[in-house]
Amino acid sequence: MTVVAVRRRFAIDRGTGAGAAIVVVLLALAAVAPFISAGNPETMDFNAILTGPGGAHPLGTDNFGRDVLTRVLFGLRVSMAAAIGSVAVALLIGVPLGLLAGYRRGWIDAVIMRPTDVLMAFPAIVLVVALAGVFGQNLGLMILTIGCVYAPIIVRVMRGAAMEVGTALFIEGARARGASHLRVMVRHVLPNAISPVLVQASALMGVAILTEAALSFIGLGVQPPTPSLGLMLSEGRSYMGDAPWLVIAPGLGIVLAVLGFNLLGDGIPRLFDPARRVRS
Amino acid sequence: MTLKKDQISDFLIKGRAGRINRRQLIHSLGVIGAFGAINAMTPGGLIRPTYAQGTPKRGGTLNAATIDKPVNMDPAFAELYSSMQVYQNIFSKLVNADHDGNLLPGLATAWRQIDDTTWEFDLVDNAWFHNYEKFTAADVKYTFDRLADPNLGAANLVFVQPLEGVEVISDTQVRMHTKANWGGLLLALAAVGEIVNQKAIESADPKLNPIGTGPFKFVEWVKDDYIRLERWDRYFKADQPWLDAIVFRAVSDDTVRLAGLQTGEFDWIEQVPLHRVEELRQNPEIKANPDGQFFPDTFLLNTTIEPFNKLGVRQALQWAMPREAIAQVVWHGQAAASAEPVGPNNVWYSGETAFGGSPDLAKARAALQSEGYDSLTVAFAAQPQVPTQPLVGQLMRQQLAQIGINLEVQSFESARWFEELITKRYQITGTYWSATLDPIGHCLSPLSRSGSPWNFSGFDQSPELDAAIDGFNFTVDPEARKLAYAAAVKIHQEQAPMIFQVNFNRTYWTRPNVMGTQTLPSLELRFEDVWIDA
Amino acid sequence: MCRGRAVRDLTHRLLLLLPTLFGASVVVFMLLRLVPGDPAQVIMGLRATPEGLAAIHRDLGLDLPLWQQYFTWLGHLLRGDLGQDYRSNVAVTTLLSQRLPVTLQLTFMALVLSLVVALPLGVQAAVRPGGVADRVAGVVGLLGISIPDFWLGIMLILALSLGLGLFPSSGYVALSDSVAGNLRSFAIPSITLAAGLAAVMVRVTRAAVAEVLSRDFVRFLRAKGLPEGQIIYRHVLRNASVPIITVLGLQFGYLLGGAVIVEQVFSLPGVGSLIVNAALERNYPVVQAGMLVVALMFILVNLGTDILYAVLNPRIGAAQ
Repeated sequence: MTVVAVRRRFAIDRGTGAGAAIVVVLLALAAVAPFISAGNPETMDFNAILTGPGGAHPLGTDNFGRDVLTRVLFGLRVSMAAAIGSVAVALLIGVPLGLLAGYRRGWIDAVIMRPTDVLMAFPAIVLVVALAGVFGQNLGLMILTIGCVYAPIIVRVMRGAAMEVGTALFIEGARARGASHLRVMVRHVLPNAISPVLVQASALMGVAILTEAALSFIGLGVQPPTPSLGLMLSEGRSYMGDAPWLVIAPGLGIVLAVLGFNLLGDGIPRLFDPARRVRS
Repeated sequence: MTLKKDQISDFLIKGRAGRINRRQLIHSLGVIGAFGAINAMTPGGLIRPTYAQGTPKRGGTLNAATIDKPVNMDPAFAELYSSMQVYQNIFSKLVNADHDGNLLPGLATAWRQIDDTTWEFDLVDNAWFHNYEKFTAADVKYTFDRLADPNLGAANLVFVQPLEGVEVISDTQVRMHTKANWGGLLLALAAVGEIVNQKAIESADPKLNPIGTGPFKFVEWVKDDYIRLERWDRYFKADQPWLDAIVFRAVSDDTVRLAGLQTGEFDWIEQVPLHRVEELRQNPEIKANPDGQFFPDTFLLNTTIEPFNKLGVRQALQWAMPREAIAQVVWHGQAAASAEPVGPNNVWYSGETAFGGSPDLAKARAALQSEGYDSLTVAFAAQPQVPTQPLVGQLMRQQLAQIGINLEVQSFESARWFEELITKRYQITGTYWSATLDPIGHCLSPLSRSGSPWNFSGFDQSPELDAAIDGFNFTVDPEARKLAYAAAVKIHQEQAPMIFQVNFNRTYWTRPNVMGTQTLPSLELRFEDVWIDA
Repeated sequence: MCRGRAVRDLTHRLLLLLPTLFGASVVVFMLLRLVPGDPAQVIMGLRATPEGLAAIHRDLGLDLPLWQQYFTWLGHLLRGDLGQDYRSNVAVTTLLSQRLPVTLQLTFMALVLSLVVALPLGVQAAVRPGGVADRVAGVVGLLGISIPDFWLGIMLILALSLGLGLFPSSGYVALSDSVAGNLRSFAIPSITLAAGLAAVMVRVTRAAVAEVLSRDFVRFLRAKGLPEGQIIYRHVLRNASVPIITVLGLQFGYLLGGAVIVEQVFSLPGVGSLIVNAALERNYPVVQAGMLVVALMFILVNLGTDILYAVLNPRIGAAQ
């Protein structure tokens, strides 16, 4: 099968393909980081403080003489964990709630949507900052927090899509045949309504990475010595005038990761909609 | 999580201070630490400051940028060093210390020791408070009575504990009565004891409305933005101050602060990015004043719980201390490795090294194993608001990993950190102690003597250390004090409830036309001596 | 008839405002109660005595049942008492009133900047698909949402401030001190904040304008011989304005959130940095008040957008 044929078959255009490639590469790098790099992001070399890129340290060293490349790779692990973890949490909470609200309507809808609307009255970052202040700086708790704060968006999107699909004739048909609500929701509504949710989820991955980085940057996220791309940016900021690589490398890492997920996300509707397949 | 009753009564019994304001962040208490004064006992005489460059000119507003923002203006509480930086220009003390630790007259023009427990002070007769009340001996008595009042819970009481009372002899003379022959009285008066006025204290909240006899009066405080002080025309020193006004701003980021100095937004800043100090000294656009090493940076070990209740574990840490590395990597060379409260440039420096040859990892491991530990996990409570703390924590983590100790660096914001400290839940933490004139009286004594309310290590395992500390405090003869200091340092090192890392430099940076700034052992910003060359 | 429905919708939304605000206040209130430990202990610190703690409990009403505490707090709130910064005793309302103008100026400037870039670019991209504008719009659209704003800020500082010395690297100059200085100190922060918003607005503008362009009435206007410029700027834009304004309203939340980070990065004394610093200090009265203010602003803007929406296009408002 040629590349062209694969692209046609799966309705992948260049952008989406690039996005998928980026994400896969970054995930792989994050996974094998311990093996391909110097191995330990904390190793200090006092003879190599704030050295520029080159030689043994392709991306330079920081103020402790730690290899920047190694730290960026390990930082990617944190970013990926944040992305996948938070979105998983948001989906786990948001999909069932949204499905229920959109399909069943009535008082169930009201009970679910009122608190959701209230939560959405706060810009997400504000909620995350306030909660991070309360819960302290543990990566697991932070992922949980980000996931919970972004869950309302998933609820809304899922609900909207479920409402649309729920009114379709074939759903009525299924009900007429005696299928229970649960069965109808899971087997019929969900698969047909999931597409916009997946787009949103993909966008959320990018947002989660940015949120984790922002939190770590202002000091409410991951704590040293754990490498996080956001933390590296904040630590490197004081030396930025003399050692710009300390802020360029981690920043590019964040941009690439988020870009990858966004490109991928843009392509998802095309995957699901045969009418929008790209003409080669 | 309320304080247990016995903890509270502990404070009440063991420390005359009783309650201490929890905001006494140790590292900010302006007058603890060590910079000695050989002639601490010099009777008053007019010693002109020696730093002056040229003739002072009247006029101008000084825009100052400190690191931290002030919290309250009541000198009895000294909440944060950043508060002291401001209010030390609003109030006056009886005596002052100069750059070398010599004593200068303040509100007291002369002093003499009459007997073992009595000192006499002659006071100026031309000082006025900013509320137009005249300064008299009654104000001195009121100040120290207030400080000692258990209902007030003033933190600075700890430094004048041996003071038993102030007696008014006349409007311009007082006598101070001390418990035993207290050698540290004058140094304490040069460090704390800003004189306040009863009427002022009772008419408005002293935390927000400071009224003193100092060179500048308080005009305006816009929280989180700036504080403005203006010249007090009735200052008791002729001609001074030279400046018309001072505006204090707090800028926590070193780079931003430096940029402000370079663009002229600020005339005086507290600190520049450490890694650029050498380069900036060559820069003709800004000026550094003569510096001094006045801040010891230390580790505090909680000796009331595992594992640091065991001597061997504490000594393992002493053996493993990488002081040179800390000075170079964390402080970028702007500090000197030192195992005692003062730095090598300091007159008091004893050079005692009970752990000569450290870092010695083999000995460290041996010490650890002597207590039965092959490996250990310990939590280091770091305060991210003090940027060097997490850095030191990470460096120590690497170092201690080599002897089998897994040091987890945990970050606590200031309030939580302080809670961990006073409730003694922490295992090891770091702090700096702002320099003083009295290395034992203001440092080892409050921090490590058993029974002191500021003994956050909870250390009471060594009566020899207590005896050595008392020996120093209650000796007046300078030679005897030097020997007593060395002895106390040695025992303290061996017992290691606290471990000194380095002594770091403090230099202030100004625009080229700002004259008269200097770093003082009491870390006062004595802006009365500063002028701006037009 | 259509207007009637729109008005009814609007009334419905206004009525929903109250429960939403109420709910938001509950969320904010619960935040402090989630904190482990005794707030009185936190406030008293070392000075704590059993009597003192009991006194603070009474003062704060901590000995009352939770629902009663909430209503007391709410009562204070409605009277304009937002509590005190527990470290310095300054009234929180004072802090907020000092800092709100900064945040407002920042968001306003970012809004203007992003629209100035996004609208013309989006329109041009829609008018000429595949052209230069279209490609630039695509890149901006993608990059703008992928670049972390604090990193963009740092890079801009590196280039424009440290490199070229054009703007201060941070710090705030009040408008009352110097207009020029004030604008300069807001330059890089506004650009930073505007970038993300511009990206979204470019995409939306392009999509909205393209959709309107494909409608019949445009062809009709062209057939009538109207100049292209007039068609675009008077007719198309007015029709496309509805989705654009809707998205803008929704994105206001992004702006507020972004302001939090940007203020922190550039040391601007706004409400955002107030919240962050208070969160770092566990200064809960301030965090709560800040959150309420931000939520209120967000809710009001959304309401305003809805009103504008209904006014501009009653047909669409009714069809919802």
